Amino acid sequence: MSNEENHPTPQTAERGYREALQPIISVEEVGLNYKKDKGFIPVLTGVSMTASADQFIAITGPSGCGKSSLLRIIAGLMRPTSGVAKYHDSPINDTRREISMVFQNFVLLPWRTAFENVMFPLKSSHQDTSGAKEKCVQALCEVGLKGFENVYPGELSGGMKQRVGIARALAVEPEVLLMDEPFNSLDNLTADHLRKDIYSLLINPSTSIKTVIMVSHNVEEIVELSDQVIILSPRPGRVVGKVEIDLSRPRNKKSDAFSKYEDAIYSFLS
Amino acid sequence: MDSWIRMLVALALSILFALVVGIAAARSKKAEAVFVPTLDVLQSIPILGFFPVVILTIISVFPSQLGVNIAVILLIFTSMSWNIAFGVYEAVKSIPREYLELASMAKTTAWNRITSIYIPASLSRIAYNTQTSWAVGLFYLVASEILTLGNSTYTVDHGIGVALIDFASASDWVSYTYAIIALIIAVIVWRFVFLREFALWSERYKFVEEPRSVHVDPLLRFYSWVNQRSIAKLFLIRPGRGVNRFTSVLQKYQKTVKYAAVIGVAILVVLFSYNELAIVLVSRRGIALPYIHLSTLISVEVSVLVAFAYSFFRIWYIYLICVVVGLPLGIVISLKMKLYDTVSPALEVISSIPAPALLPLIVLVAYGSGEVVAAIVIFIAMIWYVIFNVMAGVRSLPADYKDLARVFRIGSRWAWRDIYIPSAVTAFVTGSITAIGAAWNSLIVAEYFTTGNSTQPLTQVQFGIGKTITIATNQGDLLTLSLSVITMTVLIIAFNLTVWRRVYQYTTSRYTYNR
Repeated sequence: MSNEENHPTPQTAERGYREALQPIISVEEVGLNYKKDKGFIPVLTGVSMTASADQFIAITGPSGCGKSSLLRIIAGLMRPTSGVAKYHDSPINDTRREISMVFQNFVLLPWRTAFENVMFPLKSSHQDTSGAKEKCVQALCEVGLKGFENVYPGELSGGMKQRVGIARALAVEPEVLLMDEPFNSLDNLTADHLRKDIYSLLINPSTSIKTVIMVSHNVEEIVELSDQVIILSPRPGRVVGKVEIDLSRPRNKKSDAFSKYEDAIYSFLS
Repeated sequence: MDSWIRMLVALALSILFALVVGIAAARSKKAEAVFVPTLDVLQSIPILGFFPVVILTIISVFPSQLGVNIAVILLIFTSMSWNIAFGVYEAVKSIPREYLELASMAKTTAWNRITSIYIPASLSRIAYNTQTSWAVGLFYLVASEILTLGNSTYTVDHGIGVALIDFASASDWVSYTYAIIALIIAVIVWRFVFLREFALWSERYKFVEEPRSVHVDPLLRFYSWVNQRSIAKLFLIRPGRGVNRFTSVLQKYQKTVKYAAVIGVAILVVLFSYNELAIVLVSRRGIALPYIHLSTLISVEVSVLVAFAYSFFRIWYIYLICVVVGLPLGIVISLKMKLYDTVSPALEVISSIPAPALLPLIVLVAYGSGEVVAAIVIFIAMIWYVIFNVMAGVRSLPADYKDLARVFRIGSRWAWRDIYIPSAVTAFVTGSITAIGAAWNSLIVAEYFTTGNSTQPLTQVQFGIGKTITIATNQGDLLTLSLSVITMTVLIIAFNLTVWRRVYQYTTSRYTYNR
């Protein structure tokens, strides 16, 4: 229960305790097959995991192990072949407002400004109110893009584009945030910078986000950010290990404890 | 069979021409300064408009069938060769320098260098561009075979186009249908078997692996690819330099352009002074010299301009119909995987029929109204460029964007407005430019058409530049003919450079994905 140490406000602690009993996202015995020619290729078999309040979960594994597929199943973009993914008690059959996503390649509309990109999901659901606009400006401000509202994505750097992507995900006020290798398209320095900001940006009492699930293959990044790591085996992916990371934040990458966690994750991967 | 031989001869000539011009332009600065701007201009003018001039000239040198066949082959050649020549030029230009250094260190002869480096390096591009050129050439094949110029001595004796017209004028619709089917089968077999094999075989001659697959969507890829390349050329923009750094050939070859302009003005001055001199000499001394009165010149030019204006508006209103039909259709087809898989092969087959081949059928359907016939022919000439380009545009939308629409539960109206339509914009603009170009070419058969034996035209519109050109040719009215062709060429190039170029620049800078 490392989270409660990090957010010692009574509200969070209480909420965390109550909801820890009932996870926000639960994946139960999920299997996934891809059709190929006439046969099937199993991608995931019997994967189970949960994400509870105030948890930052990382999913990792060798490439092709189906970690992105697992995230897409939780997002409602894909249906599992067997098993079920649940949001609270209801099975996830389709995408839903409460679950939002940050993409590896940003996926911004090049023909819309930063503000319009953040506003896009709200506007299209007819929440075209001054309150919604306020929310978007606020979201852009939180990710550090104040003053860039009217800039087109083409004129932004990679790091700034991903910040717009995060602001867009924040503005819809989701309960669950999914991130698919969010730092993978960024250069090292930029990614480092964004990683420093992101935890406190996402997990804090003022946002609607209660849990974050991130797919990544960067072990250092995982230890830096997450509370729990789920490690998948090579295809077909199944859970081969779970590591709880109990370190206070901000985390020191040079510390012994940090490298011990890294070694622990590597031992499952090799 | 005769038709196929004409196509093959034209193709062989085109490849030969492409190799000579392409390699010369790529390896010599001087040749580059002459050939590249010339090819640029040649590629953007409506060739079919020149056909009557070409046929009259050639027949005066080589009478009878030989001359007509040469004219037809020459026309197909002009439609095929520029594209292949640019392919060779770009391929040779992009040979890694190490290979050339290796060659010069090994002290190879120039001939050796050509056969062992330049030609193999160009092969894959030749194969690739041949697919394009073949389809374009087919249009010109049928069009030139059925262009009769009022006098049957100006037609080829045998050929698919001639056969189609003969069957149609004899109202033998069964044979006509068989001929069309035979044409379609020949086109399909040729393109999807032979040309594809050629392309696959030439893949091994590539220097680097390119992320381009020959196996998927040949026609779709073909249409979108043609456009991107030919559009860039149309605007004198070298492709592959990125959108923001438009380096125009106009700038690069300023000297050449200047010389060309000076020579042009000089020719005009000479012609004008000759004309004035001739008028004086004829009236004072009674010496027989051909001349033109300025007033005749102006009145002919005015009538040409009026005809041009009619054709211009005809093309544009049909273009709007094409947009209304093609844009939504293209988007819907490419968004639905299953629909795409079933519909696109069918579209490929239908689109492979050259529009002029259908002319008799269209005349039958729209009996009595030349305007309707023209509209249908122009529509067929344009619509595929619009549809296939929109399809290519939407298909190139990264799959992530569909996920985006689903994750954020974007309503379909909004997804169309903000994702799908904008995603097709660039491809749609390039498609539109090519479509309008194709429409200008189709005018020659669309606006006025006679069969070999009758004096009464099979179909005609009231006014139009295509009609003016055809009639001027039939009557041997060289003044009207040359003024029409020149006026049309100048106005189309001017329109391309002023209007289309800007639209193209704007859309490519705003509506492309940048990660």
